[in-house]
Amino acid sequence: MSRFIRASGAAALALPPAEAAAHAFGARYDLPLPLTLWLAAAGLTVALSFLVFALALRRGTRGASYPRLNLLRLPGARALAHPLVVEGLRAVSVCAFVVLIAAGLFGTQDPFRNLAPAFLWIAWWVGFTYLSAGAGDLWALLNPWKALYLWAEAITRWIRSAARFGLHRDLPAGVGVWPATALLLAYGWIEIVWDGNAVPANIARLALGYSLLTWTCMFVFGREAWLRSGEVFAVYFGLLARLAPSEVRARSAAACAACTARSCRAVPGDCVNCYECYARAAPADREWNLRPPAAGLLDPRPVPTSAAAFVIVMLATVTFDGARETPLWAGLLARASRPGEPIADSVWSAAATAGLLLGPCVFALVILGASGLMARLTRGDVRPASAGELARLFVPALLPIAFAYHVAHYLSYLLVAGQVVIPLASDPFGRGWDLFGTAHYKIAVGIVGARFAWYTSVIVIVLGHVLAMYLAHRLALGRFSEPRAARRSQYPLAALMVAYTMASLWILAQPIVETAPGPVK
Amino acid sequence: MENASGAHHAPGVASLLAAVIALAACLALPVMAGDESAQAAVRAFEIRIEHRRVSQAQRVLRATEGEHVELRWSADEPLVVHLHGYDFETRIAPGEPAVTAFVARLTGRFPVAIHAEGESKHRHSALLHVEIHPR
Repeated sequence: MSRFIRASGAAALALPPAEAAAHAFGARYDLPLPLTLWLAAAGLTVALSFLVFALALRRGTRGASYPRLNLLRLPGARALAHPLVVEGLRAVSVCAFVVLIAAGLFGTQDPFRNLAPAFLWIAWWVGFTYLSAGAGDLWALLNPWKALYLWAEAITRWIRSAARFGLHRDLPAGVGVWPATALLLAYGWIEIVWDGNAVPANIARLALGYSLLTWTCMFVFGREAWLRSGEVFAVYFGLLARLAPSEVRARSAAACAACTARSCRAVPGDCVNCYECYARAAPADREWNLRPPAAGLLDPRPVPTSAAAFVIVMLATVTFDGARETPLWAGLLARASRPGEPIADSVWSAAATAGLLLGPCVFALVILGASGLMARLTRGDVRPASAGELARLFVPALLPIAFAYHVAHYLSYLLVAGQVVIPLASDPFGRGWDLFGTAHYKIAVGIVGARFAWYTSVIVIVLGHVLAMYLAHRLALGRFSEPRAARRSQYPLAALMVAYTMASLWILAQPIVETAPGPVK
Repeated sequence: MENASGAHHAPGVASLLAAVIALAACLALPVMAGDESAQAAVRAFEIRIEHRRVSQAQRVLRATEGEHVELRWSADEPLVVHLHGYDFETRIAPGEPAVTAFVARLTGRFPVAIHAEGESKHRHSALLHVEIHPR
């Protein structure tokens, strides 16, 4: 989490804004998980793991099929999916994008009185994470870079009907989502390490720079190709949307055959959450489905290495973000500084950068180790698998645990600190405006108490763990011919998942120790 | 509704259901046990700041939601202490002890920081933390 987000709690509470900025180094005010709850959660995690083992493998299900309900058959939902509604939503999203950049460039540079930092780091980055996993792949609909590019394409076609927009160079097949992975690391560094990440002008410049990069690459490689491999937020929110209880699906072999993604088919002829196929398919072949949560993670095809790396960076960044607020991390930093002296900026930044880069390496090694064991234990199966293949098959099943930890760590904070968007929406530039009459809204700090935060954390983390275990079992049953091999494959993975869940719980049971920056002046 | 393999879902659904029930049972116990001491007591702490530090025992001060909390400060140099979250500032000088008094309505872990003239831009750990636990 950005330091700005942690800092904004204090600012939100202080009465005069100028005063607040002067004492900006605030904190998250979460109480650590008490020992009794920690023990209960840890016990449940282990007990339920055995339960999943006992029940899920007895009579296995194979394949990626699941019940779904096509909302397009309901008149109300069909109206919602009308192109006019979709374009309207896109227009709102593009407006928000433009306001964000304008606020950054022309508004006050006080991070707590400008809409840009609060909108970017709280409302959008945390809020959209929950929206994607909780509702569906809404970013594919609202992505302002995609929307503006689509409009540019439409205008070009309108002016010269035969014109072909863009160069459509092929991205080499080996590129995968490596560009997005590199961008995710860079974004993580900006979020967690960079001192200037809350300065409104910096946010605007970064957004403009990223726009230039995105549109150039879309122009060279094609819109959908870049959205799939390089637009880091499309990849990020798209992966989270695999957890969501909704999907779009195109049931048309002809539409799929023309898709620039060579591998968008989940089941032969069916493309899930591939908006390129969805747009190309005839209306009768389109579906907008409700489905069981996380059904999108039942895809039996191993993900490419680059996608596995992307997921690992996601998992490691979220975990590291929590781990660096523990007394353990503060102790490590203190050891690197002279005794009795405050921790220097350079030490803090270097340590955080190292943690950000080493985290994914450690995760990858542990996952590869577990996959190696899985491969060994299942050598007797008719269809043995390599460690690499198993890692690529099972890494996405870890997403529910990571998402659950994210909710546990940030939900109560989003609900409190996120409220700053309400007054700032009325005065985005910090000029004393009151556009919607909400400029004097006062943040209700008491809406979530410690007890709410604790129980949400424990429930969500244990459910995430059970979901991950269940998904992995179904994937194993689909992959291996014999139930026995499938079961054996799950021993190392279950151990890994229990350890991962325990680590998440351990972080929540630690008092948050701030190694916060000095006063923002 | 399309159901390609509904008949085979029973084990998975059962395990999830069992998970929810087990969770609910475990979580209900501490919730029901929690509401006993609801009277408004005064919880006072004598805090001595020397060289901008407090004794190890006072690094974390614990109180319960609803209590009247009094932080009675004394210091060896002029300082302003800031209780974050509640956002109270208290000025202290040698020989002039001061008190931060409030009703603990918000639960959470709130840092107290020292604000003084000419602070360099270093990363401080908090002077101490005040933990307000739920009733």
